[in-house]
Amino acid sequence: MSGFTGILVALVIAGAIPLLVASYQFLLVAVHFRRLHYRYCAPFFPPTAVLIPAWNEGAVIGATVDRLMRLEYPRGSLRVFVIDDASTDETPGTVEAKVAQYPGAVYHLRREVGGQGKAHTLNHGLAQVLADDWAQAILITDSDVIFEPDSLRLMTRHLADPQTGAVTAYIREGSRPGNYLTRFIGYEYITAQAAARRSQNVLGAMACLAGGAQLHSRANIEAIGGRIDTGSLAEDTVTTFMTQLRGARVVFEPHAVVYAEEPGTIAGLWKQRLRWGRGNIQVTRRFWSVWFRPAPTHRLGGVSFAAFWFTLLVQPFLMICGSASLVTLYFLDRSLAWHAFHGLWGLNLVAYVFITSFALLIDPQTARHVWRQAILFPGLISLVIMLAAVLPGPMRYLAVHGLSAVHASGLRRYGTQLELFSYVWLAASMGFAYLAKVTETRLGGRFLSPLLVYLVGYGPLLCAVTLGAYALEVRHADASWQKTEKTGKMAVSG
Amino acid sequence: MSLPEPRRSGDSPSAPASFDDEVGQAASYERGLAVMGAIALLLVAMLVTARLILG
Repeated sequence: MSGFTGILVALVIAGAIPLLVASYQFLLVAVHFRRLHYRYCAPFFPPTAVLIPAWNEGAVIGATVDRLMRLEYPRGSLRVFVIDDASTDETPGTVEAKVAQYPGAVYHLRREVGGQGKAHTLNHGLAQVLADDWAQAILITDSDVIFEPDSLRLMTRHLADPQTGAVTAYIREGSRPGNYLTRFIGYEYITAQAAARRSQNVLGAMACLAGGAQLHSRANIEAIGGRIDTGSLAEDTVTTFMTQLRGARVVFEPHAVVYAEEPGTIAGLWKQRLRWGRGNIQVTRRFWSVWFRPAPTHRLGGVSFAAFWFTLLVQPFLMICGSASLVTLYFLDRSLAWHAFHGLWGLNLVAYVFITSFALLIDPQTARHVWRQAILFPGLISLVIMLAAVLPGPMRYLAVHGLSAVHASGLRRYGTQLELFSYVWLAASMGFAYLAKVTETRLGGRFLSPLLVYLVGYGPLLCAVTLGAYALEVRHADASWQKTEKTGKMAVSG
Repeated sequence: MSLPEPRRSGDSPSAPASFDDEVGQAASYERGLAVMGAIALLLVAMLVTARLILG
């Protein structure tokens, strides 16, 4: 093996880094019990202001306020502030009705000129809440987020530790009946929230407070300037970083559960994740001096944390490099290409089995709804490729006999093309995922688009969005806030 | 969405009385996740073993 082919093999195997890093994250979940914050907790019910930015949220805001009023929390210590960002729908009327229904507990803060985005709206509310000294804790949430009755008090107990600046909860996808896409998101949230945030608890470095459930001590909000950053599309992440950079702890409370409505269309998901992706790129640049630089006051500079963060950002490029290297190897040394392919997908299969099975065990309640999407997360085609790479003999046997059974043995002569296709797939999957977005609104898209997502995978869809985020950042595209549409499809009982 | 009904809606939650139990249950759940992780690793080990046996 020459130096050049050695580099190509290394680039192919690098394609497995994202799943290997994710496996490392899950291994940390298994030791989460050794790093629990509970020894610093105590029953604690500080006067808490709940801030809900709302722009045309008439479909959901009433139910959200009702649920907040049923929290297991001292009634006199809870005030809800709906910051109405110049809504033009029934939001003002609905909120005024709630103000009358819950006197002294619900407040309507109206902005007559709005549309600047969530951070500006929140700052309008923060300025008013911080103007008097009643609130000692501030819960920032979204208009569609439904809190479990015990969730707030499970979060506030962590603020009994003065070193803790902020606490976040576990957000579950809550659309019912939902569709295939919300179930994919439901599974994604087990991995990205229930698992990833536990692992970040272990590291002592939190990437992001969930936008729909971030509880801050008043001292923390004041210490970071008394306002939310308006300079990026990831204001939640900026707030999280600033909290930790000043030396305060950020805690994920996995047993405080809230439900949020997530997009049910690829177009909606694409818009939301583009915003998140661009925000993360902006945060990476903004905190450039933090990465890989361990500091005595915070853990954001740790290698493990950086590995988690950057793996997500570079995953599409690793996939493209992996495929390009495999194809190049194919023409230089076909046997070596096959071995590299075998190694890459073998590692991917091992990591996939570990992550999927562990994730479903972490949250069995969600797993009951989303286990099919969990299995098909990488896509049916990738699953077949994984099996073909790891079990080539049995898969060849099945293919040969399957083709004979349907009188299509002639297709066997396309074996070479099939081999090349499987090499290219790692990168090509993102292109096909984009096709799922494009076809969604076309004739037959209602059936074709979900079919494509199941074939191509939800993971490659997210990678395609990340690529799109880079493209927009490079072009310095418009970064104005575009909210995710809420429809109120979370049918709340009671 | 069918969510559990609030256990209380009054003004004085009795969390202090059950605080230790609640924290104990949460810690117990987290210890259980270590077992779940071991089960997932076992599954991987079985997969690798099966692959080695199949050759």
